Amino acid sequence: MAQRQYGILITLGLAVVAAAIGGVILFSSGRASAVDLTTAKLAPSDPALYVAFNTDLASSQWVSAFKLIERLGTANPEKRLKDTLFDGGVDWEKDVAPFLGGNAALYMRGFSISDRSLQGAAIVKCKDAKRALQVVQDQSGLDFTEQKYSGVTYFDGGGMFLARIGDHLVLAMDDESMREVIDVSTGKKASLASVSDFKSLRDELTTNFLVFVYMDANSFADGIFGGDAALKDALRASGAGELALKPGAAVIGAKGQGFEFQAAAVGKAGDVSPMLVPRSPKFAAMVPADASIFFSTTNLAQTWKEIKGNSKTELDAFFREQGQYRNLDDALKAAGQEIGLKNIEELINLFSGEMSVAAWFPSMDQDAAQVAVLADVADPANARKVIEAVLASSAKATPRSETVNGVRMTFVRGDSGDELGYAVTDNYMVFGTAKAARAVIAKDFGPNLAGAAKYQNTVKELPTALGTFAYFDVANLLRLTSGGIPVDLDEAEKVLQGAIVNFVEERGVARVSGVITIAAK
Amino acid sequence: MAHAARLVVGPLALAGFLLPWAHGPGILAANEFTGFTLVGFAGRLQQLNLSLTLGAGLWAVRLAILGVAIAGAWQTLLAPMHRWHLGYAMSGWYLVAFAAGATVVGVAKSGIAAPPSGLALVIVAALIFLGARWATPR
Repeated sequence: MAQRQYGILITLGLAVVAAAIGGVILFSSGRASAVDLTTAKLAPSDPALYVAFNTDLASSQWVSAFKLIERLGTANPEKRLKDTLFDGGVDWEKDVAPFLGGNAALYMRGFSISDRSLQGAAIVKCKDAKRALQVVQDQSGLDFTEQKYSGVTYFDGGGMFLARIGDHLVLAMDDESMREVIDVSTGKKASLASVSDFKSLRDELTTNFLVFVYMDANSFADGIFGGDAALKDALRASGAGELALKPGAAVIGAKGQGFEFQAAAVGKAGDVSPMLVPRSPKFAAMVPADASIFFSTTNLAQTWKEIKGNSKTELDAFFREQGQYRNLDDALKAAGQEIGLKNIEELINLFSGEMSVAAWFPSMDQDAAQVAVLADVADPANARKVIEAVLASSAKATPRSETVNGVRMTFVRGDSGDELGYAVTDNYMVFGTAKAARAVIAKDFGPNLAGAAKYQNTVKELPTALGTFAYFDVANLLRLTSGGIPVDLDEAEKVLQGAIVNFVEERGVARVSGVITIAAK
Repeated sequence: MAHAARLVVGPLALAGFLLPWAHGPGILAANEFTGFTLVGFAGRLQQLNLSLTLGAGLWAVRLAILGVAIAGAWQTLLAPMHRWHLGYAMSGWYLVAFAAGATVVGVAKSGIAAPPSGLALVIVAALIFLGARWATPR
């Protein structure tokens, strides 16, 4: 091969090497890394509560968090934090930096409100555990005596117990807790990190966070209610025990656009599963972009059927005990008759698909909300009949009809004097304040919520699919609570955008997630 | 001797890339950054809707650091038999320029002190390249 051709071949090879190295390094170094919860490997396996913090201030989570705090009006929060501590006599490099080894945690177990007792410890992965131990000893002002257990040295300060285990500092409230942590470290006892529920919850939630919380609701209930068996039985009988008494976990984190939280429980959602199916809500495109509150759910009728089918005996007993009704059916009939129906289930059964409630405040007066309920309709004739019956029962005047955008709408003045309106189309029905219902049918409100950047940004930041959720336009709601516009919103209020609380069941796990987005200035 | 020295330039630069270069400033004092983690950290900062100037500056810093790994790889591949290729001289002089720049920044920031191990290896690699070049220009 000629020298020139050989040279070109090598040049090409070098270009490929450069691209490959550059690509791999840029991709792998920029990826958000998981927080390694080393502290869970020292915590005992049965805490009622375990709260861990990400202490890597260079992590993507803290970088985002500081940026978001800055957007909320605190200039250079990193410097401010350091200066505040310095003013309090704390030298960051000497007294704080040694503690920042990646994660720190507090756990609590064996607590009882009635006995006013609490066991637990703080475990900190340190950059310099020796120095960190020295700092705590110096700052506490206590006299420590050296103790030894299972070959591990620890220090008893009379009410505070300190130990250095590898690169972790352990600070326990009692001798028993300290010995327990030592037992876990030596392998005599199982660690929280080895518990299957803990592991599966870690897998279900994002591994990159600011704060991680694990709670064993069963142990927690024991501590609060003193192990009241009757209460636990009642929870199980109600059908809530499956979720309420199982371990759950939550994380709080920061993303580019806002703060997020996620929670998941080991238990199944059970009867409410139909409402928690992942989906894309379509009614967000049918309400105005300035809707301050938007709630969306689905399968209400199916959920009600599940609950009734599985818990009828308990519900019958409940209503009987109240004394006013013979059983559940009696109560449902009575409730229906109050609003002009034979049975309230006639109304519940209408909501067999998506159902949404939207509220907006065109005049920025919180007492002048425009509210619309939108729902899928399986049987338009029946839906019309049910709504007419409900409105007739509360109408003060004869309903009037009007055709809006080719759809027949009915308006009626209610008990309060406000005009209400409704319409049933082939696909959906709308019911609400007259102006709101008319706007939904007329589609004359301009941009819709689904297309609004604020809503889209908030949904995009959500770590899970949408299920049953509530969206809030935080800036608008803050203006309302401040008494209308114009309002001198402070820095934080100016940049707050949207917030969502979302309930969904994904991969057989019930999850709650939420996000609050913060705009760039 | 000069030939053997040339062979270690690339591996030294690559090892240096993966070892500590600097401690973080301010509240990041506890964080030790390698060349690799500096590229990542600068990337995380870039995702924060920074101004165009700051964003471009961070890109320049990332690419400059990344250049050390690429130069190290080229040196490793070319030093044994292909020193005649332009890529060999380019990558070597890049290491020299980077090491000089890093030394100036380090002295300005911390005074005359031993550099962190990663940066020290990159500087040594650059010095060996220079030395070998001086001993046998081709």
